Amino acid sequence: MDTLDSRTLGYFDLYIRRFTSPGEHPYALGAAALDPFSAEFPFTVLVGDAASAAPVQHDVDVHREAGGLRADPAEVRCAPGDTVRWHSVDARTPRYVVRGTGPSGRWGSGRLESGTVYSHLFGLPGEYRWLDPLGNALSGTVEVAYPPPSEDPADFAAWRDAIRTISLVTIRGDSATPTATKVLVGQWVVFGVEEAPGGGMAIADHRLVAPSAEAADASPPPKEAGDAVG
Amino acid sequence: MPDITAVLDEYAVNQVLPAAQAAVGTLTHSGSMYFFPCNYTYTVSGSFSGGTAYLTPPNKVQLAGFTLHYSLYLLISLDLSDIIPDIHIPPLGPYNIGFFTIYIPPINFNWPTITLPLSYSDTATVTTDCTLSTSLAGPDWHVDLVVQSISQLNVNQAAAAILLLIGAAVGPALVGIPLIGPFVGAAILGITTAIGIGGVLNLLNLMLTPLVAGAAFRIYNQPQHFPLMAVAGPNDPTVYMDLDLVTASVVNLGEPELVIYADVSP
Repeated sequence: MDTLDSRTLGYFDLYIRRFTSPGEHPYALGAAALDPFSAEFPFTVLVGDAASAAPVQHDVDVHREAGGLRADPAEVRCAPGDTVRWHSVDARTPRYVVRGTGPSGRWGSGRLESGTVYSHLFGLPGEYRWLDPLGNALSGTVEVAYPPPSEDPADFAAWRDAIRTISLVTIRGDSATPTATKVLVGQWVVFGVEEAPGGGMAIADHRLVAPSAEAADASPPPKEAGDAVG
Repeated sequence: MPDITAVLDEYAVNQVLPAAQAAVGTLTHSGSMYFFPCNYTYTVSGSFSGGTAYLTPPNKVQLAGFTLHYSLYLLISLDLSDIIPDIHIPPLGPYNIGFFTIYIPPINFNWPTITLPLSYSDTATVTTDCTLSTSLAGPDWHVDLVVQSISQLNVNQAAAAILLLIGAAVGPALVGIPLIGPFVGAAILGITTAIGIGGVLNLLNLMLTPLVAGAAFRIYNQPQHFPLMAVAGPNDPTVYMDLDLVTASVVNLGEPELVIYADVSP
């Protein structure tokens, strides 16, 4: 379960995308390894013409139902500049990919564009060396530690407080800031892709990236990445 | 009036007891049971040795202080959520990450079910009350001491040792469970407390009792049809005898005796 890999999303992951282009952005949810890019897009993000005064985050919960993956709500209506967040509501939900199309071409969680966020909650300790399996010169480390062992309830409360804070890694081009992050077990690390390297990017634990597959991508290349740029 | 009467005193019964125990060999019993919060699946095998037989009229033989050599393989499975509270990380945010603001959803993580494998071998001192059972099984008559009740099954030390093993098995079973780290100590304490010495004692009694209860120690075995006199010449063939009925009892003949009665026919 504790898999650092933006190419597929689990319970401890979330994917946020900003929509700026008005129009219909239909999408599908699929098991990453099994589904080719689906010809059917049962879910939709409808972006209106008028921007709201302040961007809003719309939440989509992903769950398994009748053998398939469902998005709730199935249709999101939003304004240009708003964001949509996908997250599975159940730890038993299989890992999945968000794949869509729209006025600006194909988009999806398998390839992080500008104006997207991949976030992962680290549940197990260790040093996670991450890199971009799509071949961009991006890498970094996340050091995940248990809280110090203690019988003191105050220390436990301190851990609970600590995991209510996030750690942010900002991606701008081929630069990740900071490259080294330290968090506690239970803490979210947010990878904010402010400006994606050309063609998009992904984040994966280096152990999950076969050397020969580093340049491969599970999702089709986007026709353009500008849709997500605000 | 039976045709044949054989009398064994306590000394004689104790002379045949080791062979009777050895003849039982290794018994195996498997099963499963549930006591909150654990499901137990087990296979236990055991053999017997030692002890002393006491004849107690009427018709009871006590086997006192014999040794049960047992090995058990136990799988304990339990839902960790029954032991430690599930994790609820509240929704977080808003966080301004520079180019927009995000909100993090809550995480409600239910602990999984874990399985603790356990192997343990030991001996237990057992005292039982037996009755005599005679039967014609196939071509043979048998007289067995059949365990009817167990008056002592001493597994106190084993229970303590097994509880320690359970505690030691918890840590490895938790490896790989996200977010468990801060709760490992609580999980070990919670599991060993929830099971407890009393629980392990109960478990051991329930696992070992079927091995002992009903065990039959064969103290007499005789073909129903057997040669009484060997062939002595061309006109003097083997003389065969049939055991028509065999019964046994423990009676007081001045001192307690195990008496086997047989009716025979040529």
